[in-house]
Amino acid sequence: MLNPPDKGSIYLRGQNITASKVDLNKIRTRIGMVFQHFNLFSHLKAIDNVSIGLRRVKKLPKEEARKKALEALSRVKLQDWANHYPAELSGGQQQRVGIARALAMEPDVILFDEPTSALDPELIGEVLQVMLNLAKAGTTMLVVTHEMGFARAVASEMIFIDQGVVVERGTPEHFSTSIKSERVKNFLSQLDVLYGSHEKLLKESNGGEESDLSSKSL
Amino acid sequence: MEEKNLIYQANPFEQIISVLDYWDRLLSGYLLTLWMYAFALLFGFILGLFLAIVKVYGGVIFSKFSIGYIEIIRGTPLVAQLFFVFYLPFALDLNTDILVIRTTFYIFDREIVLKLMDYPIFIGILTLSLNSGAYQAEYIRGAIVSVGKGQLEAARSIGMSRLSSIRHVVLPQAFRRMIPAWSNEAAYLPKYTVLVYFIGGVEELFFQADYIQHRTFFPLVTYIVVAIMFLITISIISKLLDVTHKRTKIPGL
Repeated sequence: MLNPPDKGSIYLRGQNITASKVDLNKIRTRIGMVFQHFNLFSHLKAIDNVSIGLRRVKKLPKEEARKKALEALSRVKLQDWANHYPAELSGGQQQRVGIARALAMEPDVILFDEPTSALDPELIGEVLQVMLNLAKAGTTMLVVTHEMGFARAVASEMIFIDQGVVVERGTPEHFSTSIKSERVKNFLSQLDVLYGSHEKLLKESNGGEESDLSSKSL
Repeated sequence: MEEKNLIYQANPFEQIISVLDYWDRLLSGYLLTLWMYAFALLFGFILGLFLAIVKVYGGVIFSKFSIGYIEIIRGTPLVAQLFFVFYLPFALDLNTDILVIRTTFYIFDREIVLKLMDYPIFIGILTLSLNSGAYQAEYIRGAIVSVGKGQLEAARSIGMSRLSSIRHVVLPQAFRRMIPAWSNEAAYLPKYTVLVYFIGGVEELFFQADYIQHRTFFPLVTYIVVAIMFLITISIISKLLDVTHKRTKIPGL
């Protein structure tokens, strides 16, 4: 709800939040948001990044906000980094602070906008692990991601969107066995090239002018 | 040859001594200059902050007012603005009686008279504030814009209102970023206060310098002394801002 929707309506726990008389600031406290580029408040320590919403929006007293923020940080395994500034943290840690910031507000749902796509491959794992734990604990999450393996592991429903159009939707099983659309198959095979065995990558690149290229690289 | 000896030419050392003998006037002028500077910088900052926020977040209509004000102030001479604000109340037949603050104190048996407020001083502070505000607005605006939209978005996403987001998230970062550029204005403004001399009756440092050089007939040395006073003052201001900038730096950034 940071951008007004073009059309359609959105329901949160049965309430139409796209209706004209809704107090959007109130609604936003019930929807957590995790950003692609973390967007942590760079002048605040990790703990204050998490507690600022509790203090300024929920108006909790300082101590209580601090306690809750520490709880949220420990859920993302960062309690020991509470007094560090964002710029002193790795990308993966920053994103976990971002998740803790959303968690602390105890929202009905958390939205993730490509939470791992700005991270080094090495750091993606720790963020996905945290999200996995949240999913197991019963947090409702709406995740935009390219991490198909992760999606298959935790999702209850997957939707494939291309150019703003829903191409295919179904259960994770559906996406691993019975994909209908060519577009989705194509996408998955591209990912396979990227993350699959290197033989496949070599084979694809040799497709046109085979041995010439491989001999050079050797 | 004979004629030359008729005029006694004081050596530079004697000149400095006789100029510095007016230290009481230099002091009271200096204090008034600092006084006007401090107010103009402070009020200018408040005005500049307001103008900058309106310009960045005010939407199509309100930001136009802000832009218009800034352009008019920056596009006209400060002396003209001083005269305009000085004569406007007379033209409108307004009451120009204003609270006069005057204090007298003694140092080494010298009586030092310090007038801190009357109509011309008020006009000086007011105009300098209005002028400085426009310049400061641009420094503040630049810093606000440099903070980036993501910060505001993130603050809104946890339910903070627009105003609260600006106050608690954008501005604390903008102020830190602003200091190096803003120190330009902090260093210019003491010298701008000199122009208040034109509306007359304000006994700031240049008024006193003029008095001293007429008494001593040593204009060169007088103005060198005044210049050195400015130099030292502005060096200290720059240094203070530099230290503030380093102290408020965000760790790791």
